[in-house]
Amino acid sequence: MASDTLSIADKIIAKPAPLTQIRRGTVFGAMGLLLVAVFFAFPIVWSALSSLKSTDDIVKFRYPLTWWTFFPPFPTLENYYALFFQLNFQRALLNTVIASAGQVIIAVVTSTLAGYAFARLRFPLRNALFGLLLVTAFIPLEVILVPLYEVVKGMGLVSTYPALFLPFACSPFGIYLMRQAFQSIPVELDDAARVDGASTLKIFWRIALPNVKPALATLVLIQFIWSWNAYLWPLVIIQDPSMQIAQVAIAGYKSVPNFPLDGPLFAGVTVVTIPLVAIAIILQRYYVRGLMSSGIR
Amino acid sequence: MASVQMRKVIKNFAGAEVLKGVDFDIVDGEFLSLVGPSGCGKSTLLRMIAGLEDITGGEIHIAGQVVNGLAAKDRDIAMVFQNYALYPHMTVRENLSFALEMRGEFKAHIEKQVAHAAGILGLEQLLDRYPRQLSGGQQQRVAMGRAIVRNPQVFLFDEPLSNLDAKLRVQMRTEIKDLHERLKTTTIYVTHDQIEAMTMADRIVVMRLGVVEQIGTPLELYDHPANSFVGTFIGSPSMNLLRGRLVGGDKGLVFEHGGGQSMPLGAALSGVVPGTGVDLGIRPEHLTLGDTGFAAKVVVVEPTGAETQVVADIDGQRVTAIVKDRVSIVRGDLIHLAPDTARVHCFDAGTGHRLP
Repeated sequence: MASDTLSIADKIIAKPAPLTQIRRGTVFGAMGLLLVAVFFAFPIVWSALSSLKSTDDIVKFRYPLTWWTFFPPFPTLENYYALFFQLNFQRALLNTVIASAGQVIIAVVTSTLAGYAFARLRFPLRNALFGLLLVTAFIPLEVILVPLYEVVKGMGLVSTYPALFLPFACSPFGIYLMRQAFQSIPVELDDAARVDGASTLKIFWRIALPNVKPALATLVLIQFIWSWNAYLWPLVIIQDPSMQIAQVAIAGYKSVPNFPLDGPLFAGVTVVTIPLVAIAIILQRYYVRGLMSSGIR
Repeated sequence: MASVQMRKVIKNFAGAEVLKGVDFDIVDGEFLSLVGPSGCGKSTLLRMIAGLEDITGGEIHIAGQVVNGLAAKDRDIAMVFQNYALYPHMTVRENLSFALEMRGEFKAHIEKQVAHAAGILGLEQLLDRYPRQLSGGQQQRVAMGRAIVRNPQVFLFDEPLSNLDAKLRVQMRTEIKDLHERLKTTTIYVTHDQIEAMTMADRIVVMRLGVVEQIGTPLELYDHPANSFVGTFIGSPSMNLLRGRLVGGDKGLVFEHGGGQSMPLGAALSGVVPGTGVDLGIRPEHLTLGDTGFAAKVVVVEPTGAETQVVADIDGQRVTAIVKDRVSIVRGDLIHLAPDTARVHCFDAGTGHRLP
């Protein structure tokens, strides 16, 4: 008992940790983070470096492992030339941009409107509907692939741009994210705007939406990444090669018989990675805040 | 400016009756305060006047027109909220302009109105700042500016000062009162702080559990409370209530305290039937420290400088007395507290109603 008391007293009067100790902790922390960063960046950097090698060099230096397995012995841009001037990759890239833009726009419109309705409007079965919506988030695409294909085919949309994003117009995660964000706005702001003469739609547009920018940025980022990386659905629904998206086109470079396209493949991988990294860096400030304020960490 | 009338206003929330037939009038240009403890329905009533809550039963009239079915924006009222509800993404100027913009007014007119309101409240230097860059008092002023700029028929205030510190609260109280004197706009002011109501309002409506307990000027409520609830709610420190009964005597009624002591009341309460169980209401300033009166034991002595509050125990019942002179009593001392019998209040012990 006495020693307990003493130790508590000691803790109370304990001096702050010496500077060297703090520095050591910081250094170890930074090293840990660096390790994780290297771990994640390695494949991206390796493919970017490989894109600067000729296909022959990629195959030749693959094994045994030497420095030239990773670094280009004779740096060249021939793969990028082949990608854009022979394989017409820019068309696939454009298709991806259209699909992703369509996905982001439609998901932002539906998620913000539905999220606001679930957060603020009073209507019968509101919570039951919201629960049902959340359940749909747990159904993997693979399970509904065939029926979804039948539906889209029935609508005559096979091999069209809308087929790439229309089936995913309703995003349960997006609606959830926006609902949480709207709920965090004090309801008095709505009341004040109503007294000031604003209609529900005006309140949504002028008051609610400007106050959920971090969540909105998160939504844009997540939808963009998800759509940009989509593979299975475009593979199934786009049967016209000129309408195909970049991810499927890149995968196609691996399956040309007797004609290795490893160099252009790495160039393609590098090209499609750049926008993802760029948008993540631009929006990261909002992204973290958006997730924090929505109560998901 | 307009008059406002409540006609048997009822509000139900999920089957529970929150307002039970509220009935009163507010005359044109009046400053009326709604007071009562939490949950008495005062804020709900204000929100119903504003058009933010449906009216279950009865009618609300603004400027002679029944507004039950009218949307908030069509009632020509302005409201100041407890947390100010300033739009965080807009500058002060944009906050002030918003309502006029919604009304579709011309830009030049909006600018003129905003400048006018900013001038009244001394906000000229703050127009390009965001709410987060303002102090609590400044935010409060912007919230009032947002109301003024529209030149409404009625101002509604929902506990607007409760987020401010004590000093600023007193200052803003004066500003709101001054504003009302200048603009003469009909004002309905909700507060749980009876001092705010007493100092600002022309008339006060005291509410409890969805019912209006009494309506009157501040001094009417103070001097002639209709029941023991109003008596104890209005005034600080609150009125002392001594439980006992009235008995007849040679020189008029005598109050017999439950603890055994008695006090002749003279002719002050003529008309009350002897034998009635009562709560004798005595304001702290109407108890005098002396050689006569109720024998009491001092519990706490609280000097405030100008006066001294003495909390004492009369046969198990705590009472508070305000003494103007400096006193040298301490805890445990035996004292005598004599009530000013001409100014005591008598309430029925069962119903709480004022007697006679």
